[in-house]
Amino acid sequence: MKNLKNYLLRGTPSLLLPIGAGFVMASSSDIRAALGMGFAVLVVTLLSSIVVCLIKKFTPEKFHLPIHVLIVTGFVSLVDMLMQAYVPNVVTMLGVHLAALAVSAVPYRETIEVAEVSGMKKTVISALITGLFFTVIMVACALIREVLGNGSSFGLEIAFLANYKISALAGAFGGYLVLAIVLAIIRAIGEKFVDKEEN
Amino acid sequence: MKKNDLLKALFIMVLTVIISVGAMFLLNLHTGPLIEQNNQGAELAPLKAVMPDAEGFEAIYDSENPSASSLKDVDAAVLKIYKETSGKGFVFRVSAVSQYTKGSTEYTVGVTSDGKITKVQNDVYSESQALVPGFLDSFTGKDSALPGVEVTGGTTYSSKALKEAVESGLNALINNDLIKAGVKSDAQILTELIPTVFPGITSDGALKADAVTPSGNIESGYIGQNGAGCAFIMKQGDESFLAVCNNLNVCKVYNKEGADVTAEHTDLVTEALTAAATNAQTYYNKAVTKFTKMMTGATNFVSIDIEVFDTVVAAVEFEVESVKYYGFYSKSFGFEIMDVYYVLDSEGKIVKMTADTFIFHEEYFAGFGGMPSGYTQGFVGNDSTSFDENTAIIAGATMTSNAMKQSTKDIFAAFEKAAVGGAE
Repeated sequence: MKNLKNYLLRGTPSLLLPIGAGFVMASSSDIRAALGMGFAVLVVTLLSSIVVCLIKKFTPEKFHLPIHVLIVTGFVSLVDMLMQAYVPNVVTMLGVHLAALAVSAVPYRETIEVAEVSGMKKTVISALITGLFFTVIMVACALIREVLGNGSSFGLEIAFLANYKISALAGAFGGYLVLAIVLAIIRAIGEKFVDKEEN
Repeated sequence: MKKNDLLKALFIMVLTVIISVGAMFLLNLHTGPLIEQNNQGAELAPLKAVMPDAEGFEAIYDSENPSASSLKDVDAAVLKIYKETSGKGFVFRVSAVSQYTKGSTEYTVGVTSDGKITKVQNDVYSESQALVPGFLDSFTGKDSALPGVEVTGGTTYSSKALKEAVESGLNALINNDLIKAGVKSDAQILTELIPTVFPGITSDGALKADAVTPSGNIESGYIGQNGAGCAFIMKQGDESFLAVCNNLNVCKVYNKEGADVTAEHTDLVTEALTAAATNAQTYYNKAVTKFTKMMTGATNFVSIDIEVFDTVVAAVEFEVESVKYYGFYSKSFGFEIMDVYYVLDSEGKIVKMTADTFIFHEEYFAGFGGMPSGYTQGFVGNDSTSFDENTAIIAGATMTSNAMKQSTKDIFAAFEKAAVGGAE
C-alpha cells in the first residue's frame, strides 16, 4: 500500500511542488480543459515511460535528463498535433500550457523515478495510475471551479446557478483555493488509508 | 565521463530526434488537413452564420493590407470583404465605434449578389444588448437604401454606429461595382433630412424621437424625445414633403431636394402645426409654472413665436412689477434629457438659471466631484457675447456639461431671433 500512496503523490506533484500548482490552476477552470490536459498527461507519461524503460540499458546515467527531455517533448508535440486536429477548442482553452507539458514535473518524475529503475510491467502500471490520478485531480478541481465559479458544466450554462456563481473561483485566486482544498482532502484520505493498511 | 558514453548519448539523442520528426511527419499527413480545416472553420464560422448556404469564401479585401486588393474607395470601418465562391454574394466585416461608449464592435454582414442583406451579426453579447431591440434583424432583406432601418429612439448611439458601419460596407461593394445601389424612397430621403433641418431633436446626428400615428396628409412622423417639436412626412398629390414644427408656433416645409417650400404649402403648415399643438401646449404650461416659481410676481405670460429648431421647447415673455422678462425652457440631450430654464432681461442677459436635475445617477461618475459652488450664479449677467462655455463645465460630467453648453447657446440664439422678429 505504500506503493499506492507513492503513486498517488507522484500523480499529484502539483500538490507537493509549488512549481506545479500554477500548471493545474491554469488548466482546471473548465472540465473540458481538465479532461484534455489529463489525457495529454496520461498519454505522454505512459509513452515516455515505456520508451525510457526500453532504452534504459543503452542510456548513460549522466545523460538521462537530456534524453528524457527529447523523448517527452517529442510525445508532447505528437499529442498536441492530435488534439489540434480533433479537439481544437480544448487546445485553445489550454493555450501555452499544453506545450508547457514538455517541461512538466509529472512525466519526468515517472521516467526518472520509475521507468529508469523498474521493469516494464511496473512502469506501465505506475504511469497509468499516475496519469489517471492526475486526471482525477484536474477534473475534481475543474468541477468545483466551473460549476460554482462559472455556473456551467462542459461549457453549458446551468440555468439555476446563473445568479449564484462565485466568479472568484474561476480566476487564479479560486484556482489556488480549490487546489488547497483538494490537497487537504487527498492527503487526509491518503494518510488514513495508508495508516489502516500499515496497522 | 567516458568518451563512449558521450557518443552513445549523442547517438540516442539524434535517433530520438529523427524518430520524433518522422512520427510527426507521418502524423501530420493525417492531422495536417484537419488542423487546416479547423483553423479555416474558426475564421469562416461567422461568415457561414450570415450566409449559411455559402460553399466557400475568398478574401478580396483586408484592411491590414489594402494595397493587395483591387478594391478601391473602401472606408476605414470595413475590415475585410469576402466573396462567396459560387457567386451567391459577399460577406464583409465592419467595425462600429459607438459615440457613447467609444468602444468598437465588429459585425459580420452577408449580402446577396443582388445587394440584399442576408443577416447582420455580432458575437459580443454585451454589445448586442446595447442596441435597440430587434435592430439587427431590421437589416435582413434590405438593400443598400436600408429602408425601415431607423435609428430613432432608445439606445441610439450603438445603433447609429452600426448602421453607418453597414452603410460603409455596402458602399465599398457599390463603389467597386460588385452590387447595385438600392433606391431610397422619398420618405427615407426626407427622414434623413430631419437632423439637418431640426437638430434640436437629434443628438450627435442621430434622430432621438418616437413615432407618431399617421393622420390626414401625415404619412409618418416623429416627436422629439426631448419634446422640442415634431417632424412629419406629409404627402400631397404624388409628392412627399417634410414638415418640421417647433413648439414656438413655427413650421417649415421641405421637399425631397431639401428646398424650403413653406410658402407654397401653407395648408400643410396649418395641418402640421395642429398636429403638433398638444405637445407645444404641454411645454408652454410647464414653462409658465416654472417661471412663476422662479420669478415671484411674474404675470402676463405670452408665448413667443420664434423660428428656431433647436432644444428650446418653450419661450414666453412675462412681467414682474411692470418689468419685461423672457423665459426660455430648453431640453437638451445630456447623460439624460435635461430640463433647463433661463430668465433673460430685455437686454438678453441671464437673470436666473436653473435645471430640474443637473446630475443624473451621480454614482456612475467616477470623476464627479460634486456640483461646482455657485454654478448657476456663474451664468447670471451673461449675454450671448459675454457667455464663456467654460462656465457650463461640471468636472467629471462631460455629457451634462455639453448639454448645458448646448442649452445656453440655444436660448441665446432664440432670444436673438425673437428680438429680430419683433418680440419686443
